[in-house]
Amino acid sequence: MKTHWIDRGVAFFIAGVCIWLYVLARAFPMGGDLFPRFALAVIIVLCAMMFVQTFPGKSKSSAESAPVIQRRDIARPYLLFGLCLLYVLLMVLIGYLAGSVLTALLLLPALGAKSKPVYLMITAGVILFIYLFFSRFLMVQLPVGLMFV
Amino acid sequence: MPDILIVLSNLSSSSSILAILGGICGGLVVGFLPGLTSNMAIALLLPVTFVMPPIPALLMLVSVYASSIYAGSFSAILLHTPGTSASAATVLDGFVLTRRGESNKALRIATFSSMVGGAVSALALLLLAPPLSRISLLFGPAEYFFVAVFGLSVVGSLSSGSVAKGLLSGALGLLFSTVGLDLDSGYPRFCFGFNGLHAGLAFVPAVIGLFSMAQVLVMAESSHKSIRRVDAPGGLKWRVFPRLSEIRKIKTTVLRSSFIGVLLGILPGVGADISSWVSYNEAKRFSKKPERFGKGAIEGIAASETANNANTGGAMIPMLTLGIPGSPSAAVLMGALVIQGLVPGHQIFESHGDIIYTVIIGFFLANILMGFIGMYATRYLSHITALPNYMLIPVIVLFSVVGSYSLDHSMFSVVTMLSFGFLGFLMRKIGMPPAPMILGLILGPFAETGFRQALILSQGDLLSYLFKSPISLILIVLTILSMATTVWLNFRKGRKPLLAGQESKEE
Repeated sequence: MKTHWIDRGVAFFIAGVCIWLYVLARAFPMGGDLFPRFALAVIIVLCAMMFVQTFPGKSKSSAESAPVIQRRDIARPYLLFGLCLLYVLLMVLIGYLAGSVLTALLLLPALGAKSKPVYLMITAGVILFIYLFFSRFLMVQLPVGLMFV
Repeated sequence: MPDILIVLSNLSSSSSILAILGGICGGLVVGFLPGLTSNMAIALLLPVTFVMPPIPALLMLVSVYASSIYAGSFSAILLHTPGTSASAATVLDGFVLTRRGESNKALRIATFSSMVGGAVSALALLLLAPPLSRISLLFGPAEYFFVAVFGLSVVGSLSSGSVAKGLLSGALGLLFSTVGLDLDSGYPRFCFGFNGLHAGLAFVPAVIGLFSMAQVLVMAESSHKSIRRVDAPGGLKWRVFPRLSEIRKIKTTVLRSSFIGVLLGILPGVGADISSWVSYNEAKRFSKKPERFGKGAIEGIAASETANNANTGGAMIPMLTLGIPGSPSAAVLMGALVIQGLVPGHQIFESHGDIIYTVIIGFFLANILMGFIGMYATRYLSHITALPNYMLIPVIVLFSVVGSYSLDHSMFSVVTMLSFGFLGFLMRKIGMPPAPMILGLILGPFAETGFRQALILSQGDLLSYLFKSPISLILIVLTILSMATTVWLNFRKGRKPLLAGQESKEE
């Protein structure tokens, strides 16, 4: 998809959300509504600017400034993000240590790690280091998991 | 100014020394690895410094800032890949020397120049920031509002890529800063029933998300990537200090570049990379043999490396005095200051002088120490560049998640971090810089307070109140000028990004 179409879509989406938020902000108490409405109005104007910039005759910046989206490995960031969300869930359910180990194992194929033993050694070391550093040194009580409470 | 003995005693405490050394080592590793940013390092450290006393916390952060910018030169020289965008100009001459088998020479010139540049910038910070901070005494609510608008407009419009996207990022940051309970009425604004949002969007998870998590998602696209060295530094001929003849050759360049770096650092939005390129061009212009530049001229390395480190202290001058960070990294540092209860302006030098002067002198010390540590460590650090992204990604994810959780022992912070991470990733995909958003988050509450106080003081005539002060008028003119100049320059240059290559590290 051409970048200026992405820019137009983004500008429309942000402007649409901001118009909705602007309507919500009108219900805020007197005084508390002014700054959010000011910020929202500025965003809507800037979205309009962004939209206008996508037309090649007016300016090429928007299209040129956006990086070219490569198809290679395009799904991997989304997969990683999904695994991060799963990691949060696992931390809540089975705690930091077990959750981290399980997530690290799931990340192994997701990231296409070639050197598996080195990967496992490094991640295991880091999991342990973080556990000791945060729980012993910084006195942060890391989640133990609902299943073990 | 506080008693110098108090400052020295603060600095000589074991926690301060450990913080500086830890910060330098961490910064060296981050700076060395292409893809990891100085912003990311500072953001990941924020949760750790959260529980530390202000002095070691801030010392650690400024040490990371200085050493990560310096260490960017290692990979620029050894791998032809700048570890930070600030070292992009160093590649031109540094890698030529490496190919000739003279990487040690290039590295020691880069080290010496970075040390001098950083030390000069720390001195400039020490000498210029306190008197300049008096300007902030003249500021009332209207001026604070316009300072925030000016800061955002400059950082937004000078960011890489489209002006509209940079400004939009800053404005979204302002909007995010309004989330939470209204301080006057207690009304929940944009909370949508989530109690976790009542205290507002947490700053630290947002920074970790925008800089670290987003970068990890970008790195995941090329998870096998790692870089091979051309000339491994080491061997018996390793020399740590530059020769006297080399120092004589670069001394004028180093002095000129220090001045350029500090001066450009003070200008909000002009990052270390711009300083580096301007300084490189000036060194070439003033050189009697400009044709040697790009062919292994040590003056080229000196110009680039002096200026990028000189920029760091310069960027902290407007941050400490007016609350306008001179660079994206300084914006994150400003967040750290606010977290520690230190509000930029004249008051910070009056009420917390012992802390601030200790940090400034510690910053000077860190710039000197990083050179010594860096030169000895380079031989060994170069091996870590062999680490592919799939090794680094789990490490950064773990630190980001646990770091966010540790702030308030809440998974809500982790979810906030991940949300901002995904947002930051999408922003990078469409060429929208994340740094103005962070600035918007920081400056938003200041701007809103100024705006609302101005509204009360104006007694119904807001416009005449906002525009009556000469400082406000100057700030308005500067805001308009900064945006108009950027638009005009972009128009003239066929819309080339002003800060070419800024994306990689500073943002």
